[in-house]
Formats: sequence, C-alpha cells, structure tokens
Amino acid sequence: MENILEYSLHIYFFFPIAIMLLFGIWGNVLGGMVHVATSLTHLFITGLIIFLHKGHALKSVDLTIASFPDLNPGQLVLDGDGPIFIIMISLILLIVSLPRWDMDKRGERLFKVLTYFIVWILCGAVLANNMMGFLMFSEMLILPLAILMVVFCDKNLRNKILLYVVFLAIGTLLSVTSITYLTMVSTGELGVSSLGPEVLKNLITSNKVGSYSSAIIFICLCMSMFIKMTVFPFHFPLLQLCKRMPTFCNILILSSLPLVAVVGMIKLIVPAFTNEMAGASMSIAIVGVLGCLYCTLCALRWNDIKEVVIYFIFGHLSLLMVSIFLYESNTVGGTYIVIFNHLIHVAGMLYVVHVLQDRMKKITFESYGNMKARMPLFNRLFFILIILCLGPPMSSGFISRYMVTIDAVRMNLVVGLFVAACFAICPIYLLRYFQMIMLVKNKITVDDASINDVSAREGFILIMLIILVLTVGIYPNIIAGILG
Amino acid sequence: MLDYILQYAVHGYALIVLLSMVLLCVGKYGRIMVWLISIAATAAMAVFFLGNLIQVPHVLISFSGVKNKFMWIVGTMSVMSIIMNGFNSNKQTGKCILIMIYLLFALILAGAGEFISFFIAIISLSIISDLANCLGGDDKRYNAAIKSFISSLMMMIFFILAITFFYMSTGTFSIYEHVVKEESFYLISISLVFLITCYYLGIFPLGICLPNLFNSVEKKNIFQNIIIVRLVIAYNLLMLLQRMIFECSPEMQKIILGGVTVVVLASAIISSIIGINQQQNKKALAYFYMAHSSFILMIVNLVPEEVVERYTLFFMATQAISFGGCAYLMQDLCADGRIQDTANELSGSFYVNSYKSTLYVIFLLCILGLPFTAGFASKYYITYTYFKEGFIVEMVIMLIAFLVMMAYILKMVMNIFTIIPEEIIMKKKTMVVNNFRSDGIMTLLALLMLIGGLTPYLLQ
Repeated sequence: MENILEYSLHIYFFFPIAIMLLFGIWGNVLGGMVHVATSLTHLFITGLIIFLHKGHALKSVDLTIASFPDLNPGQLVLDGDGPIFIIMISLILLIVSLPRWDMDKRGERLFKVLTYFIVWILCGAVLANNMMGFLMFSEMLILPLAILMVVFCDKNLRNKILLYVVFLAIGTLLSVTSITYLTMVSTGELGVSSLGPEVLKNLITSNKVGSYSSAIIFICLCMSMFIKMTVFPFHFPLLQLCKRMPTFCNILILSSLPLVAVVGMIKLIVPAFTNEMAGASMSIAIVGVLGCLYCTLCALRWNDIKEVVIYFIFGHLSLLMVSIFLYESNTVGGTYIVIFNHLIHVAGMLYVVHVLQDRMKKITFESYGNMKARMPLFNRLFFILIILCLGPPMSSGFISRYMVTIDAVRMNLVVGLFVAACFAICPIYLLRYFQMIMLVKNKITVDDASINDVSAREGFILIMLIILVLTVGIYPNIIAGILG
Repeated sequence: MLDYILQYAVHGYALIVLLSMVLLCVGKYGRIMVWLISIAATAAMAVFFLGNLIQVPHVLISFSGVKNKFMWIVGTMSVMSIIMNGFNSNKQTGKCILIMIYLLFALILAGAGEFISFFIAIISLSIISDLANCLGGDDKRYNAAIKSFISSLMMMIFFILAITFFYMSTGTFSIYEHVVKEESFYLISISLVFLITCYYLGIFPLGICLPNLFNSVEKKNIFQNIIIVRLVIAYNLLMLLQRMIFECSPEMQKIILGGVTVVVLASAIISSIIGINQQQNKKALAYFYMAHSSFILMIVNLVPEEVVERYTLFFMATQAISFGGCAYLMQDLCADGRIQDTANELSGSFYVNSYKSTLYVIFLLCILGLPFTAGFASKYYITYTYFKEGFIVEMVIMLIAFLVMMAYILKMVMNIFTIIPEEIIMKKKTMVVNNFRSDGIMTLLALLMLIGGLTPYLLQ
C-alpha cells in the first residue's frame, strides 16, 4: 500500500498512456461507453491523487533516467496550483468523451487515441517543475492537435492548418530562444538547463539579465503564450479553421491550448517577471478590451450559429489574458475561476451548437427559428446555459467577471469601466442569439416530426455543465479548498 | 576456456562463416542450421563487444572504448538483419552469410590502424553490398545498383589516390601515428578522403544516387544497406577524416573549416528544399537523410575526443535506424511496390494496418526529433556540442533547413491518419502482409528509439 502511495503520481501520469494504448490496439472493439468509463476513472484517479497529496508527499516522477548535458527536463511534481489544473484536464476529457460525436469507427478510434495523448501532454505540462519540462510538453501539444485538424477537417483547409502549425512553431522558436538565452546568462554556457520558477525569479530579480534583455525575453515568452492562448490579435490563423472544423476539434483545441498557455503564464512567467508584468498590465488590459470589443462587433454580424459562439469564446479569452496580468492583485483563485469559466463556455456553448447542427445539418441562421416548439427541454437547458454565460450572481461567470472588473478598476478606473462594458455588452448578442434560434419563426419550413428533443445523454451533459457552473458560483471557495 | 574463446573469437567467427558456406549446400536442414548458427555466432560477438571482452588480433587491428560500442551496435543490427532474412531459400540464407562477412569487414574497418587494411575493408564492404544489390531484383533495381557500383569503384580509385598522397606527405600508412612533412600533398589527401566521406555519408551532390538507392533496392536490402553498410563505412570515414584534419597545421585547419562549412550548409539547405518537392515519400526521405548527414559532417571540425565520437555514433546509429525503419515499413505499407509510395497512396495507412503504421510514425517522429525519442536526444547532443564549440551561425542556418524538413515530415505523419473510404482500405488490407519476424524486429527498433529518448546513455 505504501508503495502505491509512493508511486501514485507515476500511476496517474502514465494512466493516459495506458488508455491510449488500449484504444490504439482494441479501438475498433471497444465502444463509446468504455471511453466514458475510462474518462470517469481518470476523474476519479485525479480526485484520489489530490486527496492523497493533502496528507502525504507524493514521489515525483523523473522524466528521464539520465539527464542531458545542460538540459534537464526535471521532475514532475504535484504542487502549487497543479491540483486545480489536473481537475480541469480531467473535466475536459470527460466533456469530450461523454457526447456521441458524428464520426465513423476509424475516426472514433483515432480520436480516442489522440484525446488521451493530449491529456497526457497536458498533465506533463501542468506537473513539470521547470521551464524545460514545460516546454517539451507544451510544444509537443502541436503534434496531436495538427493530426486532429488534418484528419477531421475538410481537405481544402489543409493549407490553413499548415499555416496555423507554422504560426505555433514561431511561438515555439520564441520560447526556445528566450530560454536558451536565460540559460546562457544563468550558467555561462549554451543550452536549455533546468530553470525552475525559483531560479528564474532569482535570475530576473538579481538583474543578471539586464533590464532591456529581461523585457525582450518577457515579450518573447508572452508572445509565445498568447499565440497558444489564441487571444486577439493572434487568433486570426485559427479563426477560419474554427468556423469550419468539427465541434469536438473546436472543444479540444480551444480548451487545451489556452489551458497550457495559462499554466505557463502562472507557473513560470508571473512569478519571475513581476516588474515587467506590472509594467505591461495597462497595455495588456487595453489590448484585451479592444480584443473583446472587436469580437463582440464580429459576433454581431450574425453569419452562422457557430461563428457567434467562436467570437464569444475569443472575446472571453482576451479577458482571460487581462485577468492573468492582474494576477498579483487578485484574491486567491481569481484566475483559476476565469479559466474554469472559459472551459465551461467552450464546452457548453459549442456542445449546444453540436446538438443543433446534429438536428438541422446546417449552421446558417436561416435554417433555425422556433426551435422552442420543436425541442422544449433543450429550450430550457439552453436558456439556463445562456443566462449562466452572461454571469449572473451565483454563477462562476459572476465570480470571474467580478474579480477581473474589480482588479481592473483598482489599476485604472477608465480601463475598469471598459472591462465592465465588455461584460455588459455580451447579453446584446447572446440573448439575441438565443432569440434567433429558439423563438423567432423561421422562413424555411422544416418537418417538425423529424427534429427530436435532446436525448438523455445530451440532457445529462448540459445539466452537468450547468451544475458545475452553479457549484463554483455558489461556493467559490471550492477552488481555494483544492489549492489548499 | 572462456579466455581461449575470447582470444580466438574473431578467428572462430571467420571459421563459422566458411562452415556456413559449406552447410548451405546441404539442403533445407543445412539452411536452417546456417541461419541458427549465424544468429548464435553474431549474437555472441555482439555480447562480447558489449562487455569489452573480445581480444582482437593485434597485427591488423586495435580496439578502444567507443569502437567496442560501435561493434556492439553493428553486431546487434546484424543479428536483427539475419533474423529478418529468414531461411526460406538459398538466396535468403546466403544473405545471412553475407551479413556475417559484413561484420567481419566492419571489425577490420573499425580497428584499422593503417590505411591499407582500412582500404581493404571499405572496398570489400562497399563492393560486396553493391554486387549483392545487383544480383537481386528487377531491371529498375539492377540499374540503380549498377550505378551505385560504378560510383563505388570511382570512390575506390579516389581512395587509392588519397593513400598515395598520404604516403607521399607522411612517409607512412599509419592513421594514428604520423607526422605531416609535405602539407600540400596532405591537403590533397584530405580533400580526396573528404570527397569519399561525402559520397558515403550522402552529402549533396555526391550522394545523389542515394534517392535512387532508397527508391529501388529490395525491402530486405534497404535494412542492410542503410543500417549496416552506410553506418559502418560513413562512421569510420568520418572519424578518419576528423583525425586527419586534427593533424593539420592551424592555418590549414582554418581553410578546411571554411570549405567544410560551405559544403555542409549548401548540402543541408539544398537537400531539404529538394526533399520537400518530392512526390515519392521514399525519395523525400533520402533527401532528408542527406540533410541529416550534412549536419553530422560538421563534426570533422571538432577535436577527436571520445565524447565527440560517442555523440557521433549515437547520432548516426539513430539516423540509420530511423531512416532504415521508415524505408522498410514504407515498403511494407506499399505492399512491396504494388502501391506507390506517394502521399495520396499512403494516406489512411493507419486504418489499413495500424500496427505497422504506428511503428512507421514512431520512426518518423524520431527523424522529426520529437522529445522523448532518440532522435531528439541525438540531435540535442550534437547541437549542444556545436554550440559549445562556437558554430552558432552555422547551427542556426542548419536548424532553419531542418524546420523546412520538419514541416514535410509532419505532413507525412498526418497523412497516415487521414480517413479514406472503406473499399480502398479493404483493397489495401489484402495487399499488406504481416510478417512475425520483421514486425518483431521493427517493434524492437522502435522501442529502442523510445528508450534512447528516455535513457540516451544506454545507447551511447
């Protein structure tokens, strides 16, 4: 038993790989329920590991048995904000595995394999205790996401996918160059050594790097993270892809990439570059506000039901970026609630699009209208979800928006007002969005009998998301509790 | 008793080769015996080398640390190659004996202390492998092998000239103990050895026959051509060249450094660009092999130390295994040439044969240099060494060339998973055949590539 306790982090880290192999070998035989069961098991193990971690020190996982010269990917440890992030990863896995996506057996098998590969990479990035380990995992994420896009997207989109992969690779280059330079300053030799958060902090605060150099490195690292986070104005290469890729790809990409970027920002950049963060917070807040306003204006164009949701998510990501830059002045758990809220928005709103698209097979607004009469249960669930997305009191959205706005007001009243305005204009298009789909009578006559209401599975997923939003909204201390 | 065996292990091995040739005439049971004996003897040799146990005949050859490691790698690869060959026909079993002969010559080549034995080993390895390629296969393959054979003969003429100039400048044939008396002759000798090294490493434009060789040799020859012969000859030539340059005066070293850098950069960039324009994946792979080789050629500018030799060996072994594995599995997935190896034809291979495709992807990722694969570790070691020695601009240019190549390989990886119609899958499924022996060996090699990423010191 002691051995199990001692090596529980090893078991946790290699669990996704084992499941990946399971689906890789017997993917054609194992059905969707096995996928749900494994994702629930992952969630259970995640809960268990956090519980074990509270009482005992878990043995860290060595990434390599022999370290490279001047390159030490280090160890995987569960400390700091790790528990909250691994819960989020587990939730992403659950949200992705629960629905029945529209794909054939072969695609399903690959999708399962890639999902667990992504989960493994995300776990590695979260648990990594130094820059090198984090870089190795976070940059490796490009590979499964690229395969996912190429396989499941339209063939005409391949050039755009390649462009996006190159764009991500530029981010990788920026990170690697910055860290190589920091290593050079730290050790006097070229390489990518084990720069942990503490070492990095000492390096920057002791002014060994020099103020200009540290500013340039900070910008490079932030750019790399922003590219992953796909915030305004770095969202353009992904925008066209998002509109045309399947919903499950959207969910995986828009949840995993921002999550890994947030982890990088919070674990490595925020603690080390305190002065630079403070200096850049005003500019970032302005860019964030501009990004949110731009996305709102784009969402108001009403092209199709997916586009509105995508712009809503991009707008929210801009404010997530602002919240990270106000991290120091935040109360505990503020940014975590914002990223949690983002994941729920991604999953909830995109799943709604999937449900509608599954029935109508089209995404243009002309095809929708008066869905309330055809799908009464869905109407209620969708309405609750839309309202929760607006951030009313007792929802996680309220907590996250309140914290970002308060921190922005503390920094600068005008910026704070603009941030508040960004939140305030969300209902303009979200309520109209609901109205256009569910209430307004459509021009095209569709046979009502052919459109079914939500199934038990779909209803369960939507209710689960609603409960999650309400739980964090009513009892936000749950985040602080997990963080200890 | 063991001491006695170790003392005469090389002689014994040579005797077993002769015995095997006799046994080959016996018939079916003779073939099986030859196969089993060759596996046992070669495996025993590999184990002896791993434990630094073997005592080589000192008259011709001498061994030290890294060379034992090198012979261990070659021995292990030879065992795998023999197992893959099988014993179903005289031709196949004959190839097993050929591999044993390769190992003997590799031993002479690795331990050669002077030019004559070095030359004999190279000419034997190179020409025997080319002749073996000529003997099997159709017209297309025969033509490619003949071209390669003629090029090898040309290289041997250059080598004889190099030896002559070397002797004229030093007055000795010894590689390790010589004093340069006439620098101009020595420079000519170095230039000629450089030319031959470029040819065997596959540096552009001298390695131009490599794409055809990749494209045309038989499935089973790919393995022994790329992994055994290319690795053995190229590695030893590289080490020889490094040693020769080290003996030059500093002024001459500067001149050589400039020349090597220009050739290396030009080769890396041109190979990568030509590679990404190829329609056939195997040809593209050959060009990427050339780009990789350019990367390692820079090692001649460094001081010959054991650590550099170890890194070079690790890089070249990883390169040979990953490229050899890719070429082999590609041939497998293309049903031995019945399906063309173009991007369209190979797309969706994962659904045709998921096992082989997964192995293929592992090798491709190894070429790509993904973290936690031996490809990453080997590239890191070499890049780290170059950076430390101050080749920063050169490395940045090389890395850009590599990035171009990576985009193509990434495309190849993604192509494997593209979903294709069910009827095409069913049609291709009947054509791709599983083979327990070769699949097992490929699995071992793929695992080796993953283990090499996590514990690189095991393979060094």
